[in-house]
Amino acid sequence: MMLTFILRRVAQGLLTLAIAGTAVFLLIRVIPGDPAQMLVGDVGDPAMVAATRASLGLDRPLPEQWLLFASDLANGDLGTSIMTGQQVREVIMQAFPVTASVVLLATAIAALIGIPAGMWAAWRQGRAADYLLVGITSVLLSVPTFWSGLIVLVIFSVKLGWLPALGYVPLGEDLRAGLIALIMPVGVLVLAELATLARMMRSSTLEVLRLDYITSAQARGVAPWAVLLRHVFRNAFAPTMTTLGLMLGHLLGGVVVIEKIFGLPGIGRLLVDSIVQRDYPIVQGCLLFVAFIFVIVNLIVDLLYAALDPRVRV
Amino acid sequence: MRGFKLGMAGTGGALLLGFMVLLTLAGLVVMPHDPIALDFTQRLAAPSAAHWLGTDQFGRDVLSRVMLGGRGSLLVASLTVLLTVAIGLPFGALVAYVGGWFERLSMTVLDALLAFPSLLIALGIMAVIGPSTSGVVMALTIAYTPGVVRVTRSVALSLRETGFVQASEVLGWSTAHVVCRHVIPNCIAPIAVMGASLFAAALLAESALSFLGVGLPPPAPTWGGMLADGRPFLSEASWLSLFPGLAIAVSLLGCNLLGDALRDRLDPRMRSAGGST
Amino acid sequence: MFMWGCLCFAGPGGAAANAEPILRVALASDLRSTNPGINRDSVTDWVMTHVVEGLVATNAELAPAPMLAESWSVSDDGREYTFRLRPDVKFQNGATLRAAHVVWSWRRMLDPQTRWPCRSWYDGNGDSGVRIDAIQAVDEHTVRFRLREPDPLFLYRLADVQCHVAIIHPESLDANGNWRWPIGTGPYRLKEWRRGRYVELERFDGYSLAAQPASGFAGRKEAFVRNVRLVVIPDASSAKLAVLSGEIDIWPLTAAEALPELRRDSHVDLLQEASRDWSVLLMQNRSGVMSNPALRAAIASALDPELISQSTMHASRPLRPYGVPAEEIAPDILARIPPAYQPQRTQELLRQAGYKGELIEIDVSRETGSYFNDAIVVHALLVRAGINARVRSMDWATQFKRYLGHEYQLSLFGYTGRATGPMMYSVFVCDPVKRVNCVVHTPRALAIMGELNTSSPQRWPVLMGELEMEIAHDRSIIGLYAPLRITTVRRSVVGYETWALGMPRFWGVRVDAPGQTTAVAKRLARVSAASGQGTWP
Repeated sequence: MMLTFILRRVAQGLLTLAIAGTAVFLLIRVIPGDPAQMLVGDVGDPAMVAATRASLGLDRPLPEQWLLFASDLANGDLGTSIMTGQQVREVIMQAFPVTASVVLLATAIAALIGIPAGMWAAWRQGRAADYLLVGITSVLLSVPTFWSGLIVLVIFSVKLGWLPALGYVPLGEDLRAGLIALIMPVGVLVLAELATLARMMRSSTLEVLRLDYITSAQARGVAPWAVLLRHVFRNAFAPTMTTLGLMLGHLLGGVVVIEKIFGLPGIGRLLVDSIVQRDYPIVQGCLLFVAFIFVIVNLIVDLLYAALDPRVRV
Repeated sequence: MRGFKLGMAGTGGALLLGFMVLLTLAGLVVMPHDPIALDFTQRLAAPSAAHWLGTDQFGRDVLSRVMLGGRGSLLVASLTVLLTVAIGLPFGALVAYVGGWFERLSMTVLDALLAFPSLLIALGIMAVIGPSTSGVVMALTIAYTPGVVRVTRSVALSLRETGFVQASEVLGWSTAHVVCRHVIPNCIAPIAVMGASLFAAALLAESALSFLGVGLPPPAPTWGGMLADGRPFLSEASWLSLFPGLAIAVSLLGCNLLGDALRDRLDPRMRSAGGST
Repeated sequence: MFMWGCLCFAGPGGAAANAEPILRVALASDLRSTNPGINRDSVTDWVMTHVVEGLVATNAELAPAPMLAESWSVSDDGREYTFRLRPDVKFQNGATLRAAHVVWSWRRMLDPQTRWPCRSWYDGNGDSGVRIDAIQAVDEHTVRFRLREPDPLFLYRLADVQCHVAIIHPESLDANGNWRWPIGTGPYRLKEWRRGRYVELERFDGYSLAAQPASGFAGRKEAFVRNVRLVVIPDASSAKLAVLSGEIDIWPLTAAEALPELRRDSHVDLLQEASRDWSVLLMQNRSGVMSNPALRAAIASALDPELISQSTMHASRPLRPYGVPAEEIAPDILARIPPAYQPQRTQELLRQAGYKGELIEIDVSRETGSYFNDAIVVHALLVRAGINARVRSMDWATQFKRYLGHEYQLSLFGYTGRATGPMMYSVFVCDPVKRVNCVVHTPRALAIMGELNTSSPQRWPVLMGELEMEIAHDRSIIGLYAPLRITTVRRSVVGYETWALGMPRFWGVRVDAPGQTTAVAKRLARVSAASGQGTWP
């Protein structure tokens, strides 16, 4: 039953989130460093630090803090930032669209290029086109994004002056300016994703190509493109889709390096900055949100997978 | 078993990776200069006869540092892969074989870990245990193990349905015996392939951690750390980024080619379906 | 102050040629909050000085100067300060400044509920500072502070940047007393804060100019540019590219690594000066091997400050062995202070200390590039001297915790410069019973510090000299250098100056509009220029 399958997956997802939330709650408190000290600064007044810690509720025993966190969470309250006093929900809702617009655009483009390229390379296995793809993707996989990002910035922003080096503009505010500001970060991310997707698609296509019915279809003289499109794609895409889902789930949790280089106020930068500042509520809220997105994306992927391959449901 | 042929690409991959390993090993015996000694008279010197790959902003020889850096980078990457597989493989097999509540609980916990981007997990763990080789390895291992467990489990699950494992159950063999003798050996092929990409991922992740400021502490360099440190000097001393970057690229290319070849060779489904070559 | 190139005033057309140019400034990190003094860091401090003002402000000579108070008088016993407010000062919501606003702002800061980190300066509980017994409005334009005892530093404290009491309008808070938005009297009002993206300041047209010429944070702060946009750019390489491509007009706190490329560019000027900040190596003196003073002396003797000051390439930072610039200390005492660096004595000192190869770790945070470079040099020097040293890099929150908990062995650290010597020294010379961040706390040091805190400025040079002598004996703090503050300014910006405290100020600054409107032409020019420079590998 499709419904039972969905319900079971949702319940599993909620359990995953509960564990993830607790893990995050503990991890951030194990990291040395004290948010109250960070907030007060280098004044050295122990009474002030103690008062600040008390006002943040950080002086209470851990189980009590956890219960507070959990009960607030159950009421849909993620708490407020220690450093800025802003609602965590609000902070996440400002940062997430930034990351989402970069990641979704880049993933769509990478899939549109990478999947056909991977299939084509598999079809031409052992020929020049295949070697070219394997070579290019290997190089792409070896270049860290913090490096390709910088090179792209130097070329397009400083040398050519075509694109702005910084200045994120929300797409909802000004579509044209927003898109222009996204070109470079999206481009760099596409390069990184493209290689993974193309290689995945190539190898899963290779597996499918060796199956009997494909060989027989070829033997019957079905045109190559028809074989690829009708028979190969459907079967080869399923494992790639899982990869795509995992990748999307993780990228939506923040593309820290790209956000830092291009000055994007996304969720990855928010997280790293909050870890550095020991802003517990933001780290907790953000990571929980990131896990939530991951669970959702993978739920959707699993459902799609089930739709593509009915055997999975059993 | 037929002869273990890797094909042209695979051999090329092995050669590339072998070269980088050799270069690193050579560093154990001899290095052109002291990779840690500072020489302020030779700062940012371009590649020359004295310094084949130039010097960095402290006047340290880049070639010697690339050789020394390989130690850190390759060590981190290979230890990460080894540990990840050493933990993930038996655990994944066990989970699949034992099943039931144990399986459901373990997978939920692992899914929770998997739900966070690995770089962020690594960042958090590094902050707890401090930057050191073991710290990076531990952080990356924790970040990557759930993936390996998942893959092993799915392979093992498919094996559980096949006849011989069921037969062994009928024979009354212990769980440990079945897992060690039958489940794990069959998982080796897909894991070997995964290992190659994990190796690559670990090399890059270490580099990204350096960029974010939580990489390995000096003076022992890593390629990723050198790449991150060379970034401000991109326009005036490109060799600072170029050579460690090349070292990473060559290792990764070797690794990827080798991984592809391994998959083509080892994957049992491929062997049966593809037949010859 | 050093200056490369020139500030070119010959911009075509002048400032008013185009419709309201905007000044764009790079911020390495976002504001901590909009609540001045309460939730702050250095960036928040200097951004907020454009929005809010206090009774007095630090001038270019680092002395307290009139700001909202146009004059003041001190009673004969030194316990009563009466400030006369400048008439016609308007808040940014249109209200006129009254003495009651000053009293309200001060009471709010001194209220324990507000949790102002510097409250101990004025409540009598601190190891320095004075208790304020009363603050009262004498009339609409006169405020009187009554102190428990005379305090020669009182006015300096009022002018301090880190512990500034801003006079704000009560509407800055909401009905429940929570912080809303700063309504101050400054030349700019805080127009917009898009977290993680930018802060925008807008000229406050109702600003009432002080009569004295602009000096430091004080005087005639005339805003010319209508809008100042402070763009958050966390990555230094990106900030460099943004200033080169003309998207940013001013880059305060330029990273030294960017200097060679910026020097080659004809569109920018570089302003460089040594700040009052102090980069030091802290040495543990309470526990472990480092509590042995002989070992501290041995380590100090191996550290060549010259080399460490050169750890950052392209920028030579002046040596600063002392907490304040040497000119401020009595020269006859300075001449008698033994230098820390004596490489010929290191081995002998190590033997005396009984050092047997124990591991010594150097704490450093990677968040600021130059400390990390310093750590590499310090490590190399210690290893060369035969000391088993290791760099322990960590993030700032961890280093800060280890610093406050005295868990470090060696720690590369920096102190923000204070306007006066006593205020600078009292940051690290203090009684560990009262404060947790004390580094130097020998009985003699504490005695001199107590005297320094209650003496008139004429006595400071001698007392600071004696204090430095004691610090040299104790060797738990090694002064390294004065960090440079480098500012990159595009030539379209006119009138931007740096000063002794090094914090950016945007009043008095104009922007040549053509510099921004002809961006395309400029970019074309740069492409042709760059192709001839061969900067691209």
